[in-house]
Amino acid sequence: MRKILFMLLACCMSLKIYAQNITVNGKVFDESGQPLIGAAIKVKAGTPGTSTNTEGQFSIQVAPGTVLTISYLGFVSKDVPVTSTTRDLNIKLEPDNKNLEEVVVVGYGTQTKGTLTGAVSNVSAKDIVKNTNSDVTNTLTGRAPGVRITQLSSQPGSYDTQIDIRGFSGVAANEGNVDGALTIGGPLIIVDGVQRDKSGFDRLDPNEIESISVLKDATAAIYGVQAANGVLLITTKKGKSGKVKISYSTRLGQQHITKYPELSNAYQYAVLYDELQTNANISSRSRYTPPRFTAEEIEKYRTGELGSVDYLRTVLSPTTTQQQHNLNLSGGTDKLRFFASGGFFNDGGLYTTGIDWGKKYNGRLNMDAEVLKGLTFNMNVSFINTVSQGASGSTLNFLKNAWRVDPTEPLYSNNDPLYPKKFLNTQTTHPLAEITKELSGYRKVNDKFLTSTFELKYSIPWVKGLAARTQFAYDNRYNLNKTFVKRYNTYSYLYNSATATYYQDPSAIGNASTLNEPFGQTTRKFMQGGLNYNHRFGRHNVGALALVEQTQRENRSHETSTQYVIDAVDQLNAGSRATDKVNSSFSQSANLSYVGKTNYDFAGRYLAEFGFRYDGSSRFPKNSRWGFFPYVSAGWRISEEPFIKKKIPFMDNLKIRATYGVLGDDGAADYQWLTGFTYPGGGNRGAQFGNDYVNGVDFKNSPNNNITWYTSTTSNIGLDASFWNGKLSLEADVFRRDRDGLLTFRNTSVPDTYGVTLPQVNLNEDRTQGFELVLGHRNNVGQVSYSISANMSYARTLNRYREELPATSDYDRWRNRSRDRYNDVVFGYRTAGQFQNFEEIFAWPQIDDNGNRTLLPGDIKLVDINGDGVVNTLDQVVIGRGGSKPAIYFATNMEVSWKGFDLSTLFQGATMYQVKYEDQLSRPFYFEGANPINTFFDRWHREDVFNLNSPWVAGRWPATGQRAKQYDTNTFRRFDATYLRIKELTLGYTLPTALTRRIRVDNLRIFGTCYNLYTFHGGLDFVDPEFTDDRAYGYNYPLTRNMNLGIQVNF
Amino acid sequence: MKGIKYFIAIMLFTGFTACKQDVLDIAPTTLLNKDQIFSSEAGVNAYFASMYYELPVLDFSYVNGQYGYNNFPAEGNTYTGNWTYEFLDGGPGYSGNNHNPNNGNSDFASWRKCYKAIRNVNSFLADVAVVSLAENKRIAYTAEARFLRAYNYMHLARIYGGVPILLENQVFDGGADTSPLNVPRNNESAVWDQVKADLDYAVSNLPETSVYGRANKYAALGILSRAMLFAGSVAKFGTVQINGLAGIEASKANSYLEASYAASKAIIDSKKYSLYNNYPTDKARNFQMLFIEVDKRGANPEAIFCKGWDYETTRYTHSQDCFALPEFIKGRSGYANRQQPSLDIVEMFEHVDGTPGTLNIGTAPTTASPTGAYVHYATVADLFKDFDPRFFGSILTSGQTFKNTLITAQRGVLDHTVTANFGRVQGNAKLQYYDAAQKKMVATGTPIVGTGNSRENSYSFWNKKYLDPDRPASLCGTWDSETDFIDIRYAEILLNFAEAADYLGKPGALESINLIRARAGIVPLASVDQARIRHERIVELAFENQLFFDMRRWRILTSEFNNRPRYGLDIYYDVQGKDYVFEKVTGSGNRTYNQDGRLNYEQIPLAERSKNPLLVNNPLY
Repeated sequence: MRKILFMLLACCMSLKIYAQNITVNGKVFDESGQPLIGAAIKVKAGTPGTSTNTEGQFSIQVAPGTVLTISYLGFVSKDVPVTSTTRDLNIKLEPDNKNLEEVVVVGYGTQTKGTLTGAVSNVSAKDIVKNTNSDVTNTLTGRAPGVRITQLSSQPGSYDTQIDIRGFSGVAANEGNVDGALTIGGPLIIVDGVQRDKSGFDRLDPNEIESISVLKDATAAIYGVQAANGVLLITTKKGKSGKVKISYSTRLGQQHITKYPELSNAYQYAVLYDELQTNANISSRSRYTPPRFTAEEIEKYRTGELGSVDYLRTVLSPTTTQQQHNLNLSGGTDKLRFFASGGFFNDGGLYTTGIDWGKKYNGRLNMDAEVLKGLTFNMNVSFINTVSQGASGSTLNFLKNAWRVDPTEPLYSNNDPLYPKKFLNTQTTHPLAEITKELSGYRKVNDKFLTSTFELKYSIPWVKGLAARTQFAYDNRYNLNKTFVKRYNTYSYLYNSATATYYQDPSAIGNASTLNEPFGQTTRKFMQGGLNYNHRFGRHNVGALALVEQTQRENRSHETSTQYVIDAVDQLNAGSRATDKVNSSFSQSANLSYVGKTNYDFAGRYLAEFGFRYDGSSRFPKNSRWGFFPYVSAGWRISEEPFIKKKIPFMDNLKIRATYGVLGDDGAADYQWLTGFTYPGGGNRGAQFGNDYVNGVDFKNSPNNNITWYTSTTSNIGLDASFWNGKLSLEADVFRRDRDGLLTFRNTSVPDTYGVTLPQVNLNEDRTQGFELVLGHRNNVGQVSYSISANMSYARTLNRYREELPATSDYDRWRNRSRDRYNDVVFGYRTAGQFQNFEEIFAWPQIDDNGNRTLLPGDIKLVDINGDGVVNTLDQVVIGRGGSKPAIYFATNMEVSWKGFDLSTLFQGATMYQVKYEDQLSRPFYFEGANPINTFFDRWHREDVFNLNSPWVAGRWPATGQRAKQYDTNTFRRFDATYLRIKELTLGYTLPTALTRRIRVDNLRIFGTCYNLYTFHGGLDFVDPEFTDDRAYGYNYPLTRNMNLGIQVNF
Repeated sequence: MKGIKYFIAIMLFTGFTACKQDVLDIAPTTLLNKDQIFSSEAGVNAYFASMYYELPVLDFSYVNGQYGYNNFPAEGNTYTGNWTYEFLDGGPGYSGNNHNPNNGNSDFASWRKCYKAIRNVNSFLADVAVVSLAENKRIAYTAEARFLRAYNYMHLARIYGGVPILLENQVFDGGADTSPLNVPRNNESAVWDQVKADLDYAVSNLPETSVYGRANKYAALGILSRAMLFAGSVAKFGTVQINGLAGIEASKANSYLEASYAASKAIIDSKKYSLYNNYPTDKARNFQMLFIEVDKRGANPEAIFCKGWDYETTRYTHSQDCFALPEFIKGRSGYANRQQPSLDIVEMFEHVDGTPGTLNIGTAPTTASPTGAYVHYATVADLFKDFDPRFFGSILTSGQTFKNTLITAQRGVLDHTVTANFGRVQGNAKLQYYDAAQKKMVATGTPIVGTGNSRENSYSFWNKKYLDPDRPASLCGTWDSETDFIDIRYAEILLNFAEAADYLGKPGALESINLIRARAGIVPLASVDQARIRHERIVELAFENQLFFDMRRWRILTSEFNNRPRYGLDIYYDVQGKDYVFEKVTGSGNRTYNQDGRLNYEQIPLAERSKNPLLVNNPLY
């Protein structure tokens, strides 16, 4: 009793202290009465809130008159006013189907996610800005299943990414083509309703993008031309009416090389070099060549008495910087709204001399105006300027040569930094000089993109739901690419016996200094007019669309080059007129299309859509220029059926959807139906007559009058499901795409005696099949809310028909033909480990046509599959996958937030693929005297290189040198390219509003973000596993890990 | 306000109406039609420029067994000289690209390229027959085009023997059935007859003179002389195989040889051409400059048909200097040493007094005979004292100065105080100078006089023909060279004449050979026979892409080339004697070749045989 009295007293006292405060108890539950655990209770005035316990109950002390906000993930938040009489609250939260109501941009319109019938992935603004790479394509990595991105370089200004949707591109039309293979383009890119180039898309400022939708199936057919490879729909941000909001974000960061091969030091080099010679003396039994380095010299290199230069370190610094700024303003009235944005991106390069850098400047103004009642005008104008500088030589050659230099060679002649050394081996260029602007010149690329879109929309007053629209777009791209190649000297320190003195003997690298300036201009004019109808009659929802559109493109370029007598001035007019060269090109193309679409749904339950596009292309002759591309789609939202709703109340959504359609691509070379003479002929196709060189012609004497679109027939079946208010969601898609009439050249089946470079013909056929899966989960635990979404995709392409040489035998068909075969199979030898000793070598089937006498311990055991005692090409079988892209890509997105903190990660990876190392990655001394990468020091070798009888020591790689068939494609030399990469990790903290208000800031968030943070790899040890296509022999500009710190402020 | 509504309607309507179908009709901007070509001399010239471009002239662009401007001449063994004993293999690290008839690609891509060229000529002939044109022009154009067609068929016949003869272009509808396009091979003799027919027409109808680089009557006679000598030799020395698809009946030999003899004689009798002799007092320089003073470098009375190259304005260039130059004076591209004359061809050059050019170098020490018997020479040049001046015009070697640089290439030094390797101390690319105190090769330091430019391999000779002596080494990169190529020169006509005369038993062979020897600057011969004529031909036309085809038509490739190691020469500086010694060694890699009788014909490309079952392959494949 005393206890109770005491408590009452305490209550009174507390009441006294917080005179106006009252205690409110409450319970939070969902529509079925289940308590909601961890729901957040916030007081609007800013005092600390609380959350519900395991019974869904809470208790809080507040002043009467305040408003409590109860929120729970997946439910609509509720505001509850507290009066002086409020004591117990029973709060029922309504499920928030926002996920299903989410608006998705689709072909010529928008749709809610719930009624979507196509396979569409959506990436939102919040994810797009997470990427710290200058190339916006990289933001899609792992975000949308089936969208496969490969980042090929981190070189500033390179914007070097590949994108394909479901494996639908990058297939050379005819690999056997003698006159240059034709690659079929990637997805169609539509920015604000208008087709635009990938290069312009790559350079978009992520802060300007509202959303990106990816149309992966037949619903893309509405975009006709090139939509066969899928469509990326990008929508930029629009202004919202209200007070002008200012948002500023900045990021500063460092880039680190993710992974790059390391070279041997002088000691390793000398040892390997001598081994190469001693091994060759034995295995090839040619003239005896004494080892180049003596034992004493090797010892001196080991102890460091003789120097060693790491040429890769000399030219590549491990880190560089980057920074990014964006300021945007948005606001307006009901009648006029705007979004304006300006950005700057500065990317540092990795070359030690600082010669390479990239800058991007961008600006945008998007405006919407209601001119009259029902008439709106919309204008989007954007300007992007990218400028980058690099070394005058190609990256590939530069890195290839930097890898090559003998590390025993000093950097400078007689160690005098004024004199770059002339190297003694076959390598002639000097790596450091090659990236020194003053010595070897530079390359500067300046791209300017102007894109503009204007739109008038009128809601026709006489018919409800009918709107007319007309759109006009004008894009212009300028490209100026200036390469100034300077001639420089390398030096040898020589002895003049006549004067008995030493001198620096110069040796010129490069011809005369040259300047090459290609200038290009691309313009695109786009016009569209259309009618749109949308109306709901009771439970019947009807929509229709009809439009016509036209695109005209024009490419114009000229290229001027000259040579210099005096190369101090890097301008064209300083060159010697005798050496001027001019080239130019001009081309035009156009498309005209009629588009129609109609959709119907009954109560949001039964969904159907039909659309078509009738497309004309200037690339084809009149009789075959038009293509008709229809599609249908249907969906059934099972979860909307009343009996299901009743039986399975926890299921928010279950939808089955299917699409089928025919798409087209006009990716053919121009004018293949015409004959005649192209003048001037390409590639110096002429002759010297008298004192003059006479330009020749190219002969076009075999037309294809029927060249036309290739088509791709796509079907997709999908299932969407969501449970417990979106706590668990699932999306699954299965697809097939059959392409017919792919362009190829008949040269492979027409005898050469016919004598003609044949035009392309619509002949080849292939089939790509695959599936995609997305699993999502989101929840709240206490004040922590989190979400996880995992996706994976699988795609593989089968060549159904390939125009190729007729097979001469069944074996020939199996071994050498690609018809009815997947496009990623790799033939080669199977292997059975390495030879441990000479006994094993001599007992093995013959590999070298020489009784295996030329092989050494550590060499690879190639398997004699057919058991005939000889290992030869007949023993090559399918040993794996390669050549195309990994069959499986997967990714996991995770987001966690707690109070003001937010954390998000993206894991991304790929598997079912192998890679073969090329060139200097494949073996030591690929080029004579070239410095091997240091992994090759882990090799089979004799204990003492100078003692041929010393015992063999095992290692990872075979003994140094080239022996029979050891480097032919085999399983030992193909490496699993599986990887899992922490692509992104972002940690942010939003300061409490109470704090930020004081400095008149609505919102202030500081964050740190990492890009390409860490990679777990399968078998690729010294290159980044994303280089899955054996590109550039491994001489890639390194990929970087970007670590950024940033601030985002909204006023 | 109502007006605005109409305005809106019109605005929206323009969206529809602005789109018109005729935007799709875009005319090409760089495509000419037949009439535009033939309406002007310039148009026809452009057409001819392309046809000449496609001509299989075996000049500097004849690389990697292929011909044509766009072939990158990398990796050395680029000339037919590697398919005989003219050249050693390429440089170190070079994996070998010798003529290998088993390789499906060893047909020099001639099949495809020649048929492409022939189709363009046939199109031209079909067009020129119907367009409106002055009759004399029509005939001159036809004659020139037929010359080009004959040249292509000559090349095909030299490579494959009998090939399908197509004089009119086939028509293909693009359908799936390609069998109507399949044509069988004609007999080898039929191909040579076609070559003769085209050339006879060209000889009768081409003008006496033409612009440099284009065919005239004498160019046609020159090709006729070469082609008929080839056909006659095949008939004389070969055997008829696969029913005449390869090989020619011996009975036809004389008629072909007569045609060659007559063609050569017509050129000689015209007295339009003579042997180049601009430097009569310096015969070595005379022979060197014969290949340089062509076209813009000066009139050359010996050049009958040339292919021009040009650097300054068009970069229509080749890479001869880059690939042939010695390493020590190479250009920037890093390539060098790709044309290494063998000791075999070196020793075929005689002394000026007519004595054989076999080098007197004694013997090197061996385990059996440790002292050896080197012959010592005070300078390297002394070894080649009184050699045929053509040797110094054709071959670079140690002791010569080229591009103002003394060539000091040698294998190493001979130091009698060193016991290992019989005192031979060898250098390499890195260690080139001998340090007498340390008794080893060094890179820098205080080297002794008489050493320099050592190398692992026995590189002592370089092809000098067509190497531009005035082009600085720094301007000798890939695609930097512009020396013109003399496809037919008067000396070849004299040699063809002599050979045909000898086979036919007609007079004139000795006089022709002695004309050449007199110009060369060595003693005349008293008499000639088949062996002497061939020997003279090999020396005079060395490295001009002739020997491979000569040996093929003489049917001696098998006996002369198979299993034959090629030799090089090692040069050592004797440290104590301060003079030079020499050693004959097998060439790089010590490789030999064994190709049966297949060397006489290439195989018909595998791909062609699989497309066209009517094609019978050549024997022994």
